[in-house]
Amino acid sequence: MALDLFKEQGVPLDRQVFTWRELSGMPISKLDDDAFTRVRIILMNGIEAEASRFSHACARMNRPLQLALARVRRVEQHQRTMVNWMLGADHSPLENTIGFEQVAVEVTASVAQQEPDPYLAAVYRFGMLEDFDHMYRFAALMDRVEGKDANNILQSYTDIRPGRPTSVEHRAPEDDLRNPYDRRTAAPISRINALAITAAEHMAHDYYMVVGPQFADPVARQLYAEIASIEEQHVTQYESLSDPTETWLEKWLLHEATEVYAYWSCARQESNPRLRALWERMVSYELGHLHFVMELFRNVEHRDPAEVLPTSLPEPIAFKSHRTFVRDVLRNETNLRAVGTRFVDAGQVPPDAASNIYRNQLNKDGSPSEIVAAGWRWTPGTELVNVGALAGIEGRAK
Amino acid sequence: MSIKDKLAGMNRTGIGMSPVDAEQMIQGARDGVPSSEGSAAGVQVVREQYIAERTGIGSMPPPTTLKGVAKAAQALATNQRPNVFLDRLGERLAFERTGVRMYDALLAHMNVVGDPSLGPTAAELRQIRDEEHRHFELLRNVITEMGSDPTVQTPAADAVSVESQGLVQILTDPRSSRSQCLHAILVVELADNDGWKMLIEFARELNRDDLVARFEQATREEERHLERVRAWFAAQMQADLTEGRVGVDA
Repeated sequence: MALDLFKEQGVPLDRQVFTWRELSGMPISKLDDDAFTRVRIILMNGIEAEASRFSHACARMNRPLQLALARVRRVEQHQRTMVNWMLGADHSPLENTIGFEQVAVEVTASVAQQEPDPYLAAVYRFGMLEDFDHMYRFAALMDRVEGKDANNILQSYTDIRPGRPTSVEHRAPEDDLRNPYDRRTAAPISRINALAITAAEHMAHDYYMVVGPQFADPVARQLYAEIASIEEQHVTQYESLSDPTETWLEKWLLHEATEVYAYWSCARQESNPRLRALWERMVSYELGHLHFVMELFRNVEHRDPAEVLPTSLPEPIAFKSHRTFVRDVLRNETNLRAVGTRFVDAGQVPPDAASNIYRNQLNKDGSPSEIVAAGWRWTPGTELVNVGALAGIEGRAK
Repeated sequence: MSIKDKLAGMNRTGIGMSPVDAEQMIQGARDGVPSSEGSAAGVQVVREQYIAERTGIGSMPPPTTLKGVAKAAQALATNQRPNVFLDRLGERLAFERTGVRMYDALLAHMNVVGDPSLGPTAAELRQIRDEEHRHFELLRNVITEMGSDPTVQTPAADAVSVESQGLVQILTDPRSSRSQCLHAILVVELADNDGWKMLIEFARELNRDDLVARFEQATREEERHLERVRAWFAAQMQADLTEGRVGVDA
């Protein structure tokens, strides 16, 4: 059922209250809940983190908005807590990481297919193939360091195989910026998509920066360092898609609309009744935020929010396996490289291009993503199922 | 070099390293007044509230093959509870598989800082690792023969993987000393020994003499692992004692 953003008022801001007990609820089951329940939790934690990041930046530049921002941000802090605390402690950092990459693959695949602007869709496909490769590298790490199967987390929804190799994803900053949409002509969903994917990538980056040094294994520490660097590139890429001439309030309005849209997408597809109730509560809170900001938009900018927002929400994010689409993109676009804001075949990139120089420097002492997955193919139950899996280690033992 | 210098390290964590500040710390804490009455029991109360509402970390899957359905029905008819056994088989499988990787990590240490006079040698470690690998294979086969799926992460497997995380951390940390690594692998073998003995008990309860025999073979190997790891750890401790080494190998 369509949700009318202008008619649905949600819960007013001053009635959005919590207790510590509520914020720290009983987590989902890693074993029994559907992988997409975890995908939704990770995505929404990322979207709330982005809301907070934006809100603080906005407050630093807009004294008159500081109190309004602080009021909404406080609720969002608690929404984020309530959502993120749904991940249980039996999720190891590496298992969570596999979850983050599943978000990056499946949610970006959904967005790439639904995005009406062909250039933006190409950007999502380009980034998706890189996250797809990260998942393969992390799965190899999980197998070879912890002796665990990443598919226990993925639940067979997402392929585990190489994408665009991580070792060639390292680019000079000038090759990570993309062309923004034009706020005057872009479809509302294009603006929402850009924010949602920026949020997911920023959260993955921040997570890897926190957990990377918590690993003892030197290859794990190197791999997190390497992939966190790509996630930084991805944030640079995706945030450059938003039109920088949008006003601060316009951006705030779009953030709130993104949150309504994403929670609404979650609520419509959630299989766990307890989580569905959580998502529905969050939709009503976000509608309250949206109307609060609409009012500010009218009063401060004297503009009609309908200039920015759609009346009803577009099709929800499709929380499902996009295997066929991902495989098609893999087949056709793995060999693409970025040159400035364009994507070209790898053969067209001159050897002395800035990204090649940058990449060669970083990979000079060895590539963690290549080392960890050398000769590795995902096998149900880990590579130790294969007879002779230990031969490689045997061969180099003293 | 004075005796004090010979014994000295750089550890700053105890209050004895900061006699003046330590006194201030103690005085400062004494002057502060707790904002609420009570004791550590309050933490227990909250824990108990959550435990009372628990949902568990997860469950076993339904059978996914015709053979699995048939086996499960057969077991239930004889009043057996195959899932309890399968849960523990899954636990052992996960532990053995991670065990292989832990021995790989130990092997890397010993390749660089091993002392052949104390043991273990690389060949000895490879032998144990390969036996852990064979135990993993054995468990995969048994689970498959029972009509179940050996790729399932069972609840007990999940719990044991959380337990093992600290052990993996020590064994993969390049800074860990030989004695720290050997202590970690000693914990692995202690748990593994009891784990196999429990499987034998289960197999006996279920009148699966065929499994008892296979598990006893694995258990004998595990007992040998434990004996050897204990001996290596003891030798290492003796050497550390003689050399006065703490936390380092040279």
